[in-house]
Amino acid sequence: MSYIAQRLYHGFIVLFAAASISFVLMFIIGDPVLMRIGDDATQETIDRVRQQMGLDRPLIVQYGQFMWGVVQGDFGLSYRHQEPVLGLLISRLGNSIILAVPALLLAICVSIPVGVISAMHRNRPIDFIARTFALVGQAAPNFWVGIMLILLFAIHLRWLPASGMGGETLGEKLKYMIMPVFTLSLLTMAYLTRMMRGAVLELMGQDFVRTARAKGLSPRRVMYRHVVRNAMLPYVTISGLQLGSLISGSMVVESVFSWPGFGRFLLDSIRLMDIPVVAGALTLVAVMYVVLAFIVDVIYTLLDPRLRRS
Amino acid sequence: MSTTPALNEKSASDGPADTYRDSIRRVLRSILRSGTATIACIILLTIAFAAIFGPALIPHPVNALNLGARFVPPSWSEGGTITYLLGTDQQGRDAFSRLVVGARMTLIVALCAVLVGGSIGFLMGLIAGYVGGRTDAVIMRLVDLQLAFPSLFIGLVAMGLLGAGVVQLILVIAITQWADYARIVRGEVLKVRATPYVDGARALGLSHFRILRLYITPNVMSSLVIVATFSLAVAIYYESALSFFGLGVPPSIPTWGNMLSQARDLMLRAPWLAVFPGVAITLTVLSFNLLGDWLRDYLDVKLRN
Repeated sequence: MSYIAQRLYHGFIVLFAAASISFVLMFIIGDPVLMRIGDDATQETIDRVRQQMGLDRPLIVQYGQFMWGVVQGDFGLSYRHQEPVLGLLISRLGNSIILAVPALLLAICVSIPVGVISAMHRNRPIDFIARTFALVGQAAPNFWVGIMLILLFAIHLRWLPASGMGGETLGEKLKYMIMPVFTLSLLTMAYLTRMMRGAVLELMGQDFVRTARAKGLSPRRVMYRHVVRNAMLPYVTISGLQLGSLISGSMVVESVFSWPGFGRFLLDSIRLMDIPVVAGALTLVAVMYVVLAFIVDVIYTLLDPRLRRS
Repeated sequence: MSTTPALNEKSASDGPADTYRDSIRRVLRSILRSGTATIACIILLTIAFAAIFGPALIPHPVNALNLGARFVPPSWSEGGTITYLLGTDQQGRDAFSRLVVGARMTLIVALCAVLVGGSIGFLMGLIAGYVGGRTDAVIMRLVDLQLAFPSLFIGLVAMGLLGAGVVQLILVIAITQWADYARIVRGEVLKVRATPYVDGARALGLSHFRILRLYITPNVMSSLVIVATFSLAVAIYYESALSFFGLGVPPSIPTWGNMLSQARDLMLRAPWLAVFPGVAITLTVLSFNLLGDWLRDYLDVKLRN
């Protein structure tokens, strides 16, 4: 368990550093006073606001105050909306999760069977098709895939709405989701398929698989009990660590499909240099990453008894 | 170069003096044997050709306005002409010429970014793995920190702060990549450092610099080359993505990402503009990935022998 303790310690270092970077962004790169009251304020006003906001105090005191705020979830006010950053970010997180969870599930549901079948029929046409799909899916840039889907299904065929989030009934709501979910899922799907195929192929050559086969177990049983189960181990870690690519992906996909989520909000805030939002998101993303990496570590330890002993 | 061709040929086949040429031949043979690697090389050579000679060969200057020929569709569709192979945009600029020239900036940015990021990551990994102790811990925490953030997020924030520009873009992509190199190089260094011949070299009193140069670096090289090949694919994606969002290469320079960014606003009027830059990105990224796969197999086989 000292392994887990060490990971926890490393996680805290990452969080501390991320919050510190947020501080640098907010107080050193951006000038919070000018951002709040605009460039044309008189010196008197600037000084007054500076004092009100506690910005006349030494930097180290400001740093302490900022970090204390972060611990309580206080990242200050958005320049654009004049509302607390954390609330703004969290209120948009829901819309992103609506896309991200189905995207991840889709990727998992496709990649496991396709990866296994592709490996079982190595170098046959079905393997070739699956590999081509995975390679192209990994190479095609998601913002372009999104545009192509809009061109085909929204503009040309008129089957699906081009962008936005809407619809009254569930069916209509789903229509808005199909293209963003698929686009968000594609990269992860392709990546996990290749991973699964590789893992299965590698395991199929292992001694214990040969033994299982020699014992006279049916090929199906060997596949599911011995190969796929073992292949799931790295798969769990890697699919858990897809958070980063889902966040990047949601910035792209939400922007292309005008989906009102976290990613698009973040992208707009970066473009307009709404620094408190950017700084808050930076810390929030780090928190999500550290928590998820920790959960994956724990699951991994539970799944692999060898790690528990050492 | 020898003066007698006959002698030269002989030494190429069995003389130990010409192992360099031999190894090139071996590499070529392996590429040709792998169908995917052959395709990847053909695509990449075509794109490299476009990047180097394209600007001299294109039919229309990339920024030549021709308001009489706005929104000409591609040559094979109704209303298209062979003059504008892939059609024109809202200012009558030739899409094919821009696509060819776009290869140049896209490749320059990707190559430079990989070179810079790879060098930083290589040095960091080398130091972390070789020196160990507290230095290692500090570098690895920096790697952790880097990996906690999606690269696109870091890239967008950094470009937002620095402003669009080629040099900024190269540095920012390099920064998003160094951690991967550092992690992998460190792992390799740790493996090599534990081998008896490094102990032997140390016992002989070789300086750290010589040990690093003669024993560690050559052993790390193959992993480094493999990572660099995959990184080129990643760098091309980031160049296009950041340019697509208007935070990469300035819009006046044609790159595939910039072309897509402009095409997106014209989706209804000129859908053809959005197709080919994306195809170009996909093919290039795909080719670097295939080449990386081949390289990994090839170098692994060699290591096992």
